[in-house]
Amino acid sequence: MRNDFQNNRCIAEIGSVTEAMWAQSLLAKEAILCEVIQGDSSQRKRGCVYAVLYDCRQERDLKNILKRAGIRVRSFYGARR
Amino acid sequence: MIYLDQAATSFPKPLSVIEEQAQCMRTYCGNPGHGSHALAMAAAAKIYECREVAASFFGADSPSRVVFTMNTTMSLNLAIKGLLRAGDHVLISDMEHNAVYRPICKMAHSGAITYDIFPTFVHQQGRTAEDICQAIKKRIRPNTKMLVCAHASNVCSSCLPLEEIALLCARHGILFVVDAAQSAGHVPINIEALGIDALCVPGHKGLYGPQGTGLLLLKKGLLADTLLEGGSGVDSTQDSMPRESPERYEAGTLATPAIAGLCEGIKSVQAIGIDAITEKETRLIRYLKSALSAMRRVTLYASHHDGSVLLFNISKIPADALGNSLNRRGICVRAGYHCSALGHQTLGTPAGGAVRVSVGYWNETADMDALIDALHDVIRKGL
Repeated sequence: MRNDFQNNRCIAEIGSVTEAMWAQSLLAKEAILCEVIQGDSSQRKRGCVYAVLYDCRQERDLKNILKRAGIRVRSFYGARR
Repeated sequence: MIYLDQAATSFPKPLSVIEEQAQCMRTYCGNPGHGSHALAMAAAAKIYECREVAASFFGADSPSRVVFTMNTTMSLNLAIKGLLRAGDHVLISDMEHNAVYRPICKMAHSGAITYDIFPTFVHQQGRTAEDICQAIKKRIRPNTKMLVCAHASNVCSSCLPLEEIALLCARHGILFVVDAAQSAGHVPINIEALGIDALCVPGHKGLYGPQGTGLLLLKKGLLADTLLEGGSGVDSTQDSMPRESPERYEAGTLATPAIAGLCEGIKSVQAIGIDAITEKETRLIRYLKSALSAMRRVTLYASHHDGSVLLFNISKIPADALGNSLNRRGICVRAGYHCSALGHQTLGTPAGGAVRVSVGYWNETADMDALIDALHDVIRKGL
């Protein structure tokens, strides 16, 4: 994960695997490639969560696309935080 | 063998359905949504693909609206028990299957809810949507919370006017729950355009999927109580199910191979085209109807409706005995009450019910001819 951050990769924690895959599918249609991963549950009080791993430089577009679709992002993690 | 019990479950299934299940079992059958290793994610991707295909097929705005269940009965139980509260009043039609009637009766017998049955005028030729809506309107009370009805009956080919009923429900703030057990895959259904709150669908009938698959499509923003609680793969440290659909309603491991097969089944329906399916099924039943109408001793029930089902009896022969006799002649039909005593009561069938013939896209005119010949034989020579 640390390597990913060093490679300018960020993480948006979404929730269920369905929501995360829906996010991935919507982002792919807008040429934002991302990977669905399981978030770090040791960092989360609520336990397991699915997230998308993406290029931090596309964060603004990612946020807009997910907001438009009504997909709530629980938290963002990444290189520039 | 001639299979004419397509309303119970479709047979045969497309080869792609069978092959995808085997492929899943062989290569990617991890536990979807529970874990992040390659096999779990591959299974999750297939499950997600099926949600996308189903959402698009039924006009849902998001794959999150698609909940996987075991069958239509489970979808209906989830919608009915998850959305009704103590003191609510419910309306159901006079053609309902036990999958609607029994959960409603159980809740009513416990004193939790009350219900009324509205007539669908199934015998009336030229009945209108207005006739049915007027009958519904008369029965709406201040506490009417939900209307549940079968889109297409499972005992005859009667279909209800969803658009008009949905409008009426919306005007009165009533949740509209549709049992699409006999219509999904046979006629087009778009839940957003129609304004359906909960659509309950079988995977193994008109969508050509394996048994053990069903769908519940819930309108955006509807939060139902859960039927089952357990692992959901998300928010695991919490003592209650997550609020997010569909995981909220899918406790435990999903039937990945079956859902993978269902995904291919829906694609098969899309590839054939709903219009082509409707046209062929209607043509076969019209052909059969025409032959049976000319036979002495044959009674047809509500046969003026067009669709994929025909219900009949031969006088002086109990329905079960006729069903068994046809089975011996290599023809599979379903005799009895078809889990819809309410529908049979409305249609006025005798004790023992009637014989149901239900066709699918894979049936041919030759199947109808074989049935017609067999019935002639029974009438001439006896069972």
